[in-house]
Amino acid sequence: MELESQLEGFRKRGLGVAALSYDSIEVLKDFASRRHITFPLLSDPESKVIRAYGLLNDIDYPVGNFAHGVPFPGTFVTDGKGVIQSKYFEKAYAERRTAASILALGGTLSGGAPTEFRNEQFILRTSVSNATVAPGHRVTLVLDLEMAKSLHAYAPGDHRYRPLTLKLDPNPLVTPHDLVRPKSEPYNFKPLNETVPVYTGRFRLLQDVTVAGPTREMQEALKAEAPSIELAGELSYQVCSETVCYAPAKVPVRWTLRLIPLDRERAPEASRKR
Amino acid sequence: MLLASLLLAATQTTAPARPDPMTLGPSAGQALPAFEAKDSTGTSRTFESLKGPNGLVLVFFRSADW
Repeated sequence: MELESQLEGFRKRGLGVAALSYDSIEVLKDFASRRHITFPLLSDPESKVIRAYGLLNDIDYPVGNFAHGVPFPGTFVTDGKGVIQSKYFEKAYAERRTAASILALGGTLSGGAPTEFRNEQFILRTSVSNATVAPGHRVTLVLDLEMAKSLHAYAPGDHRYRPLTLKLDPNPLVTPHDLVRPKSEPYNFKPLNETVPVYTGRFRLLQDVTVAGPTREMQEALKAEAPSIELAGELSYQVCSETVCYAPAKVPVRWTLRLIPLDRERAPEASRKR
Repeated sequence: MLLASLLLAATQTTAPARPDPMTLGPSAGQALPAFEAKDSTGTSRTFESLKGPNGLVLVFFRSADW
């Protein structure tokens, strides 16, 4: 269990770790001993906690299914008072993964990106226009930002602050287009008598990508059991207020696009022409 | 906003509606809902008994059994 291998890192950060499933105490006990797991595994056999959190996956596993009661897999990270600082959820279609790879969430926690991120300066939520893509599709990666009160982030311009920039890691399966930013507003910083373009409040960044056509890489990608495109990158930014300027910083971002071959994308059977 | 909704409408496939991962469960900034569950030794656990000084990483996973 990779989470186990990350445990020391979490402990150093003063974080407790626990993992919950709908399994019985006996199953978890056996699992813990076979996999040498030292952090608490929690048993929620009637899925009470899973339901209370709104995480029950009754789409893939409806009532009557042998696995009814399982959650959409994900992770919450809280502060010492129990306020959620970030949450990490995989796209629901990652459901086809094995238990082992879902337990690899620890990897997501260290190298990946939350779907929702919050710090003192802003809240960032990432999403995508379509969860399912096919070769040749153009889709939009969405970054919704909500700045904390009286703080602003910088738009590109003639200034020395770091503007909001999205850098996607190169991926042979997609071609990124230009990042679309909203219209900025001029901000006058009195002490320096400078006017710079900034963003405040809520705003949205849009990053279009075009999915590759039938290239060799695409053919390979489509052979996977659950084909997908993992897009990762970094949003860099700098945030200031009238009195405080934070250092330029970066936050990792990530999207998973489920990949389907073009010829499977058809109208529902009933509405097809004969 | 408008652009994204147009894109959504134009390109959505016929796959069953799936929740957007970011809408699952409570949001960042909210309090983690209180919970109580038994660990693999049969001991009842809560946020208070699981957290470290700086908080808790709470993982929901599918199953240890299959």
